[in-house]
This record gives sequence, structure tokens and C-alpha cells, in this order.
Amino acid sequence: MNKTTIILSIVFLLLFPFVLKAQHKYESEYRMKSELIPQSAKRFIDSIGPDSKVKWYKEISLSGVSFEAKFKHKKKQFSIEFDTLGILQDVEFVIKKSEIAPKVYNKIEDKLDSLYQKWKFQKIQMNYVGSHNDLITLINKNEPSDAMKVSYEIVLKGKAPGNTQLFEITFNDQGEIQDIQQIVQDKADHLEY
Amino acid sequence: MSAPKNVYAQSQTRIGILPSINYNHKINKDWDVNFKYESRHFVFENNSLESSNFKYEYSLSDISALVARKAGLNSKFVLGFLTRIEPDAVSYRTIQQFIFQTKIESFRVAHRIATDQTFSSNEATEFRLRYRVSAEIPLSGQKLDVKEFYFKFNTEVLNSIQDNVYDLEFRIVPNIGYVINGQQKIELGLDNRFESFINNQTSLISWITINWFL
Repeated sequence: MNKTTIILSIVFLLLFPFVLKAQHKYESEYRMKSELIPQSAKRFIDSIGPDSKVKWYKEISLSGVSFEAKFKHKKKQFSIEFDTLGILQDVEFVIKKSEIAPKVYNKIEDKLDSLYQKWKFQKIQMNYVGSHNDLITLINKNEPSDAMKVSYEIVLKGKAPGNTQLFEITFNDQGEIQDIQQIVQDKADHLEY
Repeated sequence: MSAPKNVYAQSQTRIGILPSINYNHKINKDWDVNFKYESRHFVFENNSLESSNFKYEYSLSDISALVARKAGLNSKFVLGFLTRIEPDAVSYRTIQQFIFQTKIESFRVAHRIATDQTFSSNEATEFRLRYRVSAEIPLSGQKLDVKEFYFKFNTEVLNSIQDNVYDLEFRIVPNIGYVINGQQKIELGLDNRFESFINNQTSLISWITINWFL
């Protein structure tokens, strides 16, 4: 092992703990009137024929601006994201932990056990990225296509030594961590004092 | 900052100014401090037995300091001290609180369980046990952001005992608030206080309040 390799290895080992260190998640969202939403986004939602009223939001985060439609359909809480041009980005819906395949759930559980002393799910969402037709079939018939990219977005309360925080963790369909973000909680002094 | 006071049991209406400035400072991830200044200035009085008139009258000032220690992700223990300054008297209050937050759909709810003890030279010590629920409903979107309005609803039940006399009070306080920036909020509300429930001599006192959080 030459000197450069040793130095690079030390640097890598020093950096490694930070690879999975949570980034902070900042996000603001505003309710939008449907008249201000791009037509193509509205057409996509209309083609689903949601069971409930559709609420539109504009979301601003570090990754950019997007529009999101939230509604209930087939007894599921959906959230569908579009970019500012109305191009479909992804489809999300809330699931129970029992809906995660046992093999994947066990991997997620093992990973969370290694990261936190204690943890508790707050919310689990399935996230699908794919073609219009595949996503429509998924929404209406609950039949996911193999061509779609699937991930789990999990909001949980995680306790590390001396510190409990809220995190949003993204796992892929194999139960491997893709991303960790610490959710920045809003000030609540006006509620507390 | 202004407050009408309607004491129906006494057929009396009083209107006043009630400014409150509430400063919160985070020391580190576990500790924060809160300082509050509130004063009452009556400007109008209407008594059915006498004439009604506009008359300025300073009533009192409350200055408080609280220290909070985070207990969990959404809970904290609070200890504090309040000084009440009236034209002819000063009283002191020690405060203990436990506050925790929950979230129901898109609104946050804070629960406050508190005890306090008020000491003054001319009255017996008053002991109170109180529970308050405060709910915040953003008026734009699912969470509260800068330059957005919100609705806040407080309701509180207060038990008090002084000189072996027990009393019960309810407060219902709807507020409209606005987030000025990341640090500041301003609220306009109506503070309705139903007092003396136990003695069957219930009186309602209503205050219009303006709170500035910074």
C-alpha cells in the first residue's frame, strides 16, 4: 500500500461518518388556487378522477420549486408532484408498515436499529417514479409496474445519545438507505408561551 | 394592545390597552429562555349605576422570565418568575410548567400543564393549577410559513385556591396571527375569561389582545 493510498484511506475513514449524516430539510409550502396550476398537471389529476377534493400546493425547498396535488383516492392519501411546467415528477401515497414487504421491512428495521437507540415511525409513504400510464394504473388499480422506480419515504423520531430528532429517510425498494434529512422543526413560542 | 372588559355580573364594561411583548431565545439545543412584558391600561369605563366616560387609568404591568429545558422531541419543563407591578402594590409569582406538542393533520397543538404561586404583602398566597390547549391552524397551506396568516385557538381551565377558598375559571381565546419573518409574529385576539364558576357568580371578562412575539 503506497503512501497516497494510506492518506486517501485515512481521509475516507474520517469522512465516512459524515456520508450518512443527516442534511437539514427546509421546506415551505403555500396553498394554491387550481387556476394557477399548469394545465397538464390538472389534466393528469382529472384523468384519475379522485374520490375527494384536490388541494394544490406550491412547495419551495432547497431542491427547487414544485406543485403538489393532495387528495384521497381508493382509501389512500395521495400526493402527486409536478414541476413548474406541469411535468409529472412522482406519485406518493401513505402506507402502514405492514404493507412493506417483510424482507425489505427487516432490512429497514436492522438499519434503523444500527442508527438509533430508539426510533418510531411517524409516517411512511411509497414513492413511485415512472411513465404516465404506469402511474395511472398504479393509482387506479394498485398494480405497480416493474419499470417504475420505487422508494419508501419514512418520517421517524430517532433517538441518538442525548438527542431525539425527526428525520426523513428514503430507502430504495431493497431496503437500502438513499438519503437522510433531519427535519427542522418550526418555532412554536406563540403556542407555548 | 387594546382590551374591552365586560364584567356582566357587575353590569360594567371596561376597555383598555393590553400590550404584550414576548421574547424567546434559544440558548442551545436543550435550553431556551422567555421574557414577557405585558401591561394593562384602561381607557374607557361604563358602569350602569354611573355615567360612562373615557378615562385613562394605568392598571398593572407583568414582567416575567422563564427558563425551559427540553424533555423530549416535543416537550419541555419550564420554571419561571413573574413580577406584577400595580400603582400601590407589587406581587410575585413562581411558575412551573410542562409543555408538550402534538400534531393533528395540518395543525399543531401545544398542551401546557402549569402550577403557580402568587405572593403579595397584603393578601394570602394564591395557588393555581392550570391546563391550556393551544391549536394553530395555518390559513395557507399545511404548515405555517413566513408572511402567512394563521388562526390560533387557546382554551384553558384554571383552578385556584386562596385563603381556603376554591375557584374555577375558563378562558377561551381565538387569535388571528401573522408571521412577519423567521423570528417575529403578531397576533390579534379576544381573550374571554369566565370567572367564579364555583360560586355561581360567573362573570365574563373579555379582552382584545395584541401579542408581539420576537
